[in-house]
Amino acid sequence: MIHPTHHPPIDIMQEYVAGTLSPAFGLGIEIHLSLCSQCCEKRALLEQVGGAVLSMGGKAPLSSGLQQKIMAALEDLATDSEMAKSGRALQTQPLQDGDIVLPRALSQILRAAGVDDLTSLKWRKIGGYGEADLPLPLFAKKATEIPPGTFEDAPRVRLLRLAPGAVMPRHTHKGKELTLVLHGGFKDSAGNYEVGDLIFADSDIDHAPEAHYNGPCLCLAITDGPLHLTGPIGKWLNPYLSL
Amino acid sequence: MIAPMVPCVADKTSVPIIAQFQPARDKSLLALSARPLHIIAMERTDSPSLDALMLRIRDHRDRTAFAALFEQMAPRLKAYLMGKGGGAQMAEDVLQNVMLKIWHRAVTFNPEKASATTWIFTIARNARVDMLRKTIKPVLDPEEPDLQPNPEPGAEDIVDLAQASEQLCHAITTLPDEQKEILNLAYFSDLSHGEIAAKTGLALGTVKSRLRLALGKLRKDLR
Repeated sequence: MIHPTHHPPIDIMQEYVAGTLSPAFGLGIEIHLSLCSQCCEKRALLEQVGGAVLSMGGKAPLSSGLQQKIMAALEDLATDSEMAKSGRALQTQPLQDGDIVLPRALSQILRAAGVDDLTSLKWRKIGGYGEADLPLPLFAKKATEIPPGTFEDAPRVRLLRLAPGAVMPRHTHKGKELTLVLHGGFKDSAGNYEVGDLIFADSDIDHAPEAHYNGPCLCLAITDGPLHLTGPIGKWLNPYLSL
Repeated sequence: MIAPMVPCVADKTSVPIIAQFQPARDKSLLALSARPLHIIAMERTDSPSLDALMLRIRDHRDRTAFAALFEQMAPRLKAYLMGKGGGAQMAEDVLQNVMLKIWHRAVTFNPEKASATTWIFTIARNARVDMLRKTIKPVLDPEEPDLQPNPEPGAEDIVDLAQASEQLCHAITTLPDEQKEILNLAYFSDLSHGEIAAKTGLALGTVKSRLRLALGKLRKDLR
């Protein structure tokens, strides 16, 4: 039974509900929602506000004949079966790596992207710290704004793995970072984080997360700007790392 | 039990001309100032209520009820879809998709869980996001052992929910204009909070605090 104690801020939830949060960050919110009934209630309330805004919204004139066209399509059997198809749930087992079991929602997304084994990801390791980019088609901030061929500012979606007791190099963020604990836990100067906890950080935060000693810690990390090392040694390493 | 309608005060002077909205691509402040910011028309003509119509569609496949729902909601949905950045033609394509989903998925409408306006809002938002992004969405497993389901709503909760939509509309009309404006942009436009700040010339913190204030007034649970 999971009862997360760290939740996404309400303004980020609003962007998620309105559909204006970038898909990469939306992914982190969705996985948290699959683990947090408290935030599911908040989502329901925010959707209620959306419904009220919609029901009071302005009207745009419709093309003539549109209503007749749609009324005529109501009993279209082809449409019926198409709808049924799109509503079918994917059946997947959670992805596992030893004792680590990923949430079902994330497992489904990874399997759909062709990842059937966490060890098949390309892991980069520095001491007790490892990270792997997830090959997800979530790069564009908005589909209407895809810059042709350039994804330089594209958010990165990664798995981070800390060995028991391992400390991440002290760092801050050039952009936003969403961290969701998937297994184990970690602490930093601001608090203690367990499975399901979501931390939304920006460049105001300067921290050195330390994994709990009783097991490895696996997190989902979504960033839209590079990390920036701030420790006495780390800051000399910035030019050499692609964190 | 359906709560009596609370009439949402008609403010005829701010009837939006959303059809004249420029696509969201045009980011200049000048273009914004030429736009009507008060997207909420603040007038409703619902009778009978959307919830009652949805129940007739769900339980009796009632085409007359669907036609009535279409007349109430389709022009608003088109305005919503256009405000989200697509052109008129794209908005009508998505609108057709949304109206057909309302008909075909009516069986999943449960007024004890979400009012008709809430249910339709989520269908419209998802249809638009799917059409623009084509990304993989997780289909949550109802068997997920980690997720504690909410207890079924009791009789009191159901009455609350039936009243909630009407009360929400009324509460929105009583918000200060500056909060109403941010609420409109946050839900109705295609803009993130950062983009709203850039467009309105407000500080991002001001945008977020106005939105939090508005949401807090609408739902104490959202403070």
